[in-house]
Amino acid sequence: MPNFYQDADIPFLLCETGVWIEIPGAPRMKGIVDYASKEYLQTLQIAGIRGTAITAVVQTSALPSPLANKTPLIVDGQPMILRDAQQEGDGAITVLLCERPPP
Amino acid sequence: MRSLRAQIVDAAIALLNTSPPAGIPFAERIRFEPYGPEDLPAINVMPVREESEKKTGRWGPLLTRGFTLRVECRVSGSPADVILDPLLVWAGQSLGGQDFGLLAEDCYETLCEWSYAGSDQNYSMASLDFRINFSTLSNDPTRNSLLTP
Repeated sequence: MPNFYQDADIPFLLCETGVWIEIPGAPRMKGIVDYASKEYLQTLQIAGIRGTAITAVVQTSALPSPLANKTPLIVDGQPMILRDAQQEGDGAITVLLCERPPP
Repeated sequence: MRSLRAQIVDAAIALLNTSPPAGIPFAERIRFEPYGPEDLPAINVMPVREESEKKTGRWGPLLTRGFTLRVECRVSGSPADVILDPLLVWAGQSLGGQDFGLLAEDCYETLCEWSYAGSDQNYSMASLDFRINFSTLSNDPTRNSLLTP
């Protein structure tokens, strides 16, 4: 009988490559962060704005509930604001979409 | 010799870049490269369309042209429409009613569209079209009168 990863295994999977994420109302947790460049607001296929999609993959059960959009976060030491939280697959992990606070 | 259209674009960009108020960026001409967040706010100016009509008949010398010049304003931050507004005001004040040194007959705003994108910051754009009416000789887009050499 195969062994499937369970919810309790997720912190172990995230601890190697994850960075610390701090969310008010929850213990500090590890998450895998991606910074992916993307071009927005192009017209006539030129001169868009090069933004960065900032995502953090975390364990859903480690998140406070409810987790409201616009919650301030600390991601790898950087202040961020939660744009949205979207569960993936069976819901065991959640992708946090982050934005930088205004300068 | 450059077309009147190209001279009008030159003149429009020169007007936009003449003593812009604080916080208003200098306008660029048909920028292709993406803007980074550090480049914002930004103004990009580009010709997008022109319709022509010969109102003087088969043997008449003039071609009447309706030229659309687009002024694109991009910013970051919130509230987006409030941040974009001074750029749109500046474009309207700079170009509205202009004859560009007798190159054109009129210039006025015809369409403004706003677009938004949420990412690592809130990015927004307003695309403001100006209609510029001008005429050239039907056989020479560099001249608008039989009298000019």
